[in-house]
Amino acid sequence: MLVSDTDDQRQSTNSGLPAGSPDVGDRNFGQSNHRIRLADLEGSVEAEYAPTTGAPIKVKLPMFRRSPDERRRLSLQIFVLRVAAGGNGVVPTTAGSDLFDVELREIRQIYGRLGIKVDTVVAPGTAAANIVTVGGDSIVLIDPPQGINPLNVSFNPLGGANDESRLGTLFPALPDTIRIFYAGGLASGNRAESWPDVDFLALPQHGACFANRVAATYNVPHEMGHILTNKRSAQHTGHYFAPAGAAGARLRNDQNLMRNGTSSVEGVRESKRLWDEPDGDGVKQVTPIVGSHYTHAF
Amino acid sequence: MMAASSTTASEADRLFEILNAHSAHPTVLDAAGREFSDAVKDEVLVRVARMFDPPPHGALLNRLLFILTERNKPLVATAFIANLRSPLPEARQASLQGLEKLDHPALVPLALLSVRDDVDGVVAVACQILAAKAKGDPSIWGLLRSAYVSRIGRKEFYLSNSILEANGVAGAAAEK
Repeated sequence: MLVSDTDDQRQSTNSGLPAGSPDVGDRNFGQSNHRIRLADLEGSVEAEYAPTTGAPIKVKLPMFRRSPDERRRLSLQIFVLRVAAGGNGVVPTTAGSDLFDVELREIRQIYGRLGIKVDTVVAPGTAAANIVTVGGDSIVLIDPPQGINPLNVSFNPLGGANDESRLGTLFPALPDTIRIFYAGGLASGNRAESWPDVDFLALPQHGACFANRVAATYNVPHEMGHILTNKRSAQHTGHYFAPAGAAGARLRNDQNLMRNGTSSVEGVRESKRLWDEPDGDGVKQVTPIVGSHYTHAF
Repeated sequence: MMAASSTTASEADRLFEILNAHSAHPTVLDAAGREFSDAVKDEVLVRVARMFDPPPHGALLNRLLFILTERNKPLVATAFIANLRSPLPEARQASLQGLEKLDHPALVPLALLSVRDDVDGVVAVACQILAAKAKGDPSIWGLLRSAYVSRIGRKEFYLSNSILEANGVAGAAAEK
């Protein structure tokens, strides 16, 4: 089995070997016949068969088909509000910070499973002083516009505040690019929120996610999932709704990335899976994601 | 307060469920603020203000501002004050932020109470409130300066220290 993160890689699995074999039963990471391998979407799989007579046969295949190319690209514009004009970002943006080492890693692992390569882009003309580049990824620090409290970004009726629309207007998207805005807090109390095209195409923040700092596990990948699956909010608030399913079906709520409420820790059984079987609302996940205009040809 | 009618109570159940959800899209909250009557909003506020164990979570407190009316403002303020010492850090943060939004007359003393919180998000809100006042008040400035110095370099106070730095509390020019 090929997997995209180290939690899955380290999961013990049954070798499938018959009784009497020294490796029968569950095998742990590092043991013989533990057959889980960490794979990269640009990597390949090699198999070798050595018959008792004749030359060995080797086959090497790419992880994802090339012709036509199954792989997709997904570009993100990442904005981090500063605490005040010229100040630090509301989250650390240095090398080794959670934004780069946890959030972007999780995003890449989750969407990498589907053959989607995630990169970060910056709009032309962005002042160099506002760009932070770490390990090939670039994010943009933005001063809070007048009247926007970076610790309490609003979309609410208090004084007609509509910070998310303002930010969406002031920092427009490059074509077919998902924007992620990190704030120090959201007035809605949500850990994050997003504006999928299907419900909000007319709003300037459509295709954008707003996050309360680098919060719990899988938070931003989940919001990106709303934009990519484009499920209507009228259908279980756009979240995954487990189907009744046939006996033995394992399309359970808890492991799905798009369940309402993500896991608070990373792990094999946590909320990081995306499936292509219709959920209880008849909505698939993988097909709309790879078909989304936010993903591009490789 | 008088007992709510059964209609109001069932509507209040529905509004409470919206506000108390793990996540609620801002447009849903916005709509709820317009859809429900003032009586229903008041009924929900009474419930939230009475919650003790379990305490209301932070998001629920944040969302009280979506059902704020001129008339229920004192009740909202009560709910916030009652949760400034909540065991839930997000509830403490939401309460202080809520009082700031309400422009509560006791905001500065209540923010001072929160400077010693052990959670960065709460301290950050307190620092943001106080930094604006500190320039005219040497005692507040001194306290913020001391708080900054005691936490300098501690990653768990990144946000609050960044706010103090952005307001000049960290720099030599801030010495008073």
